[in-house]
Amino acid sequence: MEEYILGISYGHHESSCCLFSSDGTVEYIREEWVSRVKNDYRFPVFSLNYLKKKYPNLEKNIIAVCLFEKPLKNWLGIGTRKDLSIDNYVNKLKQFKKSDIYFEKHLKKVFKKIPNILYCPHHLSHLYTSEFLLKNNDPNTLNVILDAYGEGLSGAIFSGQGKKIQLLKEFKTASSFGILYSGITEWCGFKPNEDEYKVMALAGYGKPEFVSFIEKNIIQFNENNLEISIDSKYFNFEDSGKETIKNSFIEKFGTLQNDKSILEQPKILNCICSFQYVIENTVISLINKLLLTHKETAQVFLSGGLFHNSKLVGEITRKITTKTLVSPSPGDAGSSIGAAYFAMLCLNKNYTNENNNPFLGPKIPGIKEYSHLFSLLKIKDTYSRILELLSADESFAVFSGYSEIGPRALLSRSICCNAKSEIALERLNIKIKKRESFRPIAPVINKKYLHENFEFNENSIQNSFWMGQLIWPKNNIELKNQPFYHVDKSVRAQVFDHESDLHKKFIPLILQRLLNEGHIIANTSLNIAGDPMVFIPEDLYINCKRLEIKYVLQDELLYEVL
Amino acid sequence: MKFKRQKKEIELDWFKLSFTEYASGIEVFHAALFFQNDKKSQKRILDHALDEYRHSQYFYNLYKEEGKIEKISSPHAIVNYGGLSKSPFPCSRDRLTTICSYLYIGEIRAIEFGKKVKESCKDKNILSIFEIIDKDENNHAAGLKRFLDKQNKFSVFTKIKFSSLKFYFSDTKSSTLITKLQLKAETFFTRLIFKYFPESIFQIKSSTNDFESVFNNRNRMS
Repeated sequence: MEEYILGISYGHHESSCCLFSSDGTVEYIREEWVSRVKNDYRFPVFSLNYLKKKYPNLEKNIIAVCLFEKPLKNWLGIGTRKDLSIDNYVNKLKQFKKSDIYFEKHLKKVFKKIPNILYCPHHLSHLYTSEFLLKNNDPNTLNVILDAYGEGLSGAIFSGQGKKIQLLKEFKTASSFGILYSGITEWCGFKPNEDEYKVMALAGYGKPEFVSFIEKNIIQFNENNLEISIDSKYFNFEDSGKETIKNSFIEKFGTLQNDKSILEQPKILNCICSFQYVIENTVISLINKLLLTHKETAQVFLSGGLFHNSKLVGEITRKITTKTLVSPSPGDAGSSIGAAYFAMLCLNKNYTNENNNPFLGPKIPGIKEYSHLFSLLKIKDTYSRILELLSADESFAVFSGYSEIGPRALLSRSICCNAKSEIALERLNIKIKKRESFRPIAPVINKKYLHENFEFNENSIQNSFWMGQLIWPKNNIELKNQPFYHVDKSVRAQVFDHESDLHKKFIPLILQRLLNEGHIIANTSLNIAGDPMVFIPEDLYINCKRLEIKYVLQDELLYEVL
Repeated sequence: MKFKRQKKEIELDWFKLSFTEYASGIEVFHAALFFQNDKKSQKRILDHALDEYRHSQYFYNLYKEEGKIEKISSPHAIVNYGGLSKSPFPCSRDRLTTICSYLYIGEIRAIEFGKKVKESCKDKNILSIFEIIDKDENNHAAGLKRFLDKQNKFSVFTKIKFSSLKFYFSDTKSSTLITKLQLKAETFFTRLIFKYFPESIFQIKSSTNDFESVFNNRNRMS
């Protein structure tokens, strides 16, 4: 009889569920894919209903449900100090009513009989997600977890893996790089907890002219006790009734002028660039110091929302030679995986499998049956037709294989075009996806061609399999006909490893052939900017219509959208 | 943007309207999933959802033209402004009549709102947008009515009345005396709890030093 363990994360940004089955199956699902609300933070009732339908014995055979955090500790961890604004306390009360403290009550909406409930500490959920997904089991692992906030902390450092872990350091909320970055995102006129990647992209446009000021007055790192301190004169991290950015910050760095594009405001860009630079330096110093004191360390695992910042990860792997890996889903959305893994450890179960990879989402359904929405093109050679589309600067959708768990499309649910054509890239980026010009579309490059043009840390190249880091070209390379480079010459490439079984199994054969022949494919997620990734054929239809995409590649077949 | 119409003012909050339409798109999309065995109807309903997303884009463009920046994040905007917090989804197929009644009342309300705007607004650009939306909403309402006419008449009648009441109360709730009093009371008690109780009552400590300490606390919320 099969047994199931369920991990759940919700309440912060993106809700998700992860089901571990005793037969080794692992199924991960994000609430936003099913509910169609981007970054859906609510209890994942749509996802649980989906799982119940797919696994009819789920309710009967479930042995444990694990939440990704300690809800009461989380609620008490911030904003309960005295002398905060009344709005903060009112917010706290509202949060209480909506929080995951009511986890059991929420579960009753879906399960008639409540299974054994476990609560995994927030930062351990991050740790175990990395451990499960990165699979490189080694007791000499250093886990660096940095995020915005969880259970009164903004991060932690643990050594070890599995049941043999040891806490080395905890970071209080007052030293949260995650909240600092969200504050700057809001200051730049973007949505906090949502648009941080835009700020990261803008950092390349500025000059680090405020670095010495920031290091002297705002962010300090003490190598002796590994303490990070952020001056509370500039940021408010505790009081939810007040702005994160304080007046002292505005006096120093100014405010955004709404009548001008942000790209025309050098002071704002320089400020973003400087903060990015200081955060990179601080995290690199922290890891270097840890490596000095833990000489036996074989690998460093990075997790927590801060490591969604692919520039930060790129700079770390560029400067630190020890194998340093970030999981395909380092933020809270991936934490349901860690929660399920924690429950498995607690219950002394070992549902081992070979499937630890970024494609743990459900198998993408066939669209052949949806003849009312898609028509199969009667062509002899799909490969030649794809080549024609690429050379005509046209874009096509890919809807094939298994859903990716992370925020990046990895050629399962992607829109592709010729990455070497400026016209095709601009059309895809600006007209189809309606993205900002400062965020170029990422290319997919075959690893065998990577050595010719790029400098990278071979130990940590795995991060690029899921676009987890930036890489930089060699100094002597002339950047010609390669419009996918960022303004600072970095590239957030997805690296395709032609020798990897993982890639052979999960990437459509036609695209593998293109990459093996040296083509560089532009790859962006199959959704309208601001919408969740497509999940089922009906979504695909809606998104293709809205994006004006005419063709869909599934397995070896090409379909036309009706 | 505000327009006077007799004594009442119509407030056109493009941001909220954009998310209302967007949320309608999501709801109609979910309704379409109940028609997987009726391909023709499903395509029609998906095209209805596409219309709602298009309307949302019209309003979002108007909002952007005003050059404002809204700080609320999109999931909260969809759930709160869009009305998804009151949505009947997710639900099973046997509630199809309830859902269609709910969507039908939503369309009727949109048509009525469009009429009020057209009576009071002089801006040609806005009027042309409402003209397109009005045409679409009338088509949607007619389609939903055709479906509802085939169902049990009494059941449809009660469900439509119920949906109308639900919308009525959700519209007026925020301005009622009860809500205001509730808010005052909440603020008062919150202040009492947080300001005058010793800070130590909020401090909960639990150890996460190693797996054993975490394992021993595995069933605790703190």
